[in-house]
Amino acid sequence: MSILDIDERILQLVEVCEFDKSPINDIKEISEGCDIGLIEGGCCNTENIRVLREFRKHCKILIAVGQCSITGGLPAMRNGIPIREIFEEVYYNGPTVANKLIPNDEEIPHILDRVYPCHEIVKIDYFLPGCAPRADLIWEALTALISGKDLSHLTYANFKYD
Amino acid sequence: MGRKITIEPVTRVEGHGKVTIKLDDNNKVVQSRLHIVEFRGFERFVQGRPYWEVAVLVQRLCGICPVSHHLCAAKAMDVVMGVPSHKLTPTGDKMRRLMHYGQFFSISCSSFFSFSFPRLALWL
Repeated sequence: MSILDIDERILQLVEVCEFDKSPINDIKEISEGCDIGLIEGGCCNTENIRVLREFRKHCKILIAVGQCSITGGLPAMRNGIPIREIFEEVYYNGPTVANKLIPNDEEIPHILDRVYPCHEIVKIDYFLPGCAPRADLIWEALTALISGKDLSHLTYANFKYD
Repeated sequence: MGRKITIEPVTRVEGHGKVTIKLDDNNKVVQSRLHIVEFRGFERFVQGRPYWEVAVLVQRLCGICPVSHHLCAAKAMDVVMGVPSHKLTPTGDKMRRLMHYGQFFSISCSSFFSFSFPRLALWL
């Protein structure tokens, strides 16, 4: 979502690049030979891991965007608590729970024991921190990569860590 | 044995979802379901945190409507602190309303321009 904060600059972006799997064009699976992959969010279920590995396989450069993908972010606050205890609180003991049932359908991916940051699963090339990252940082990183530079000279003022 | 259609991920809403539609041999729908695949456990891990943190923590529930969750937590914390809604200061009340209107405007724009518009106008 935070990429939309670059506002009308997205029109310049579509002139020089082609969007593959993204929420905007609703393509479900990533195609082969992508140059840049932006990944947001940590891995909290098996489906997240599958998508992340697909991205790594097909993208030359993989960028973790946002705090969740870099450190696990706020959902990683559950990491210190046994998953069973969390399930019991959410699906049994919560004050507004109507049907006491822990979901266990074949269609639902398995929840992992903790939230994993992306770099613990696959190799990540660049990290853009922030919750959410500044639009200027995303813009600067994308324009640098598209014009063939690396990301060693991003403006420090555009980084934020909260 | 019929077919099964899976739509994953669902991209026209914020958050993660999956739709499965089961068809019988005559291609008639037998069952159609929306699965909420994401699980985060806020209900458990906000417990034991300082109360002033909760409003900021629950903002992360949603990237589109963080302010709505913020205000919800603020109201819950009012209850925790024993402040009935009519005892809120007029300034506090107005600030919350203003934030909520701002959020409503922003949410409608994001929903329309980034979720519905590509499909309605560009047929993507």
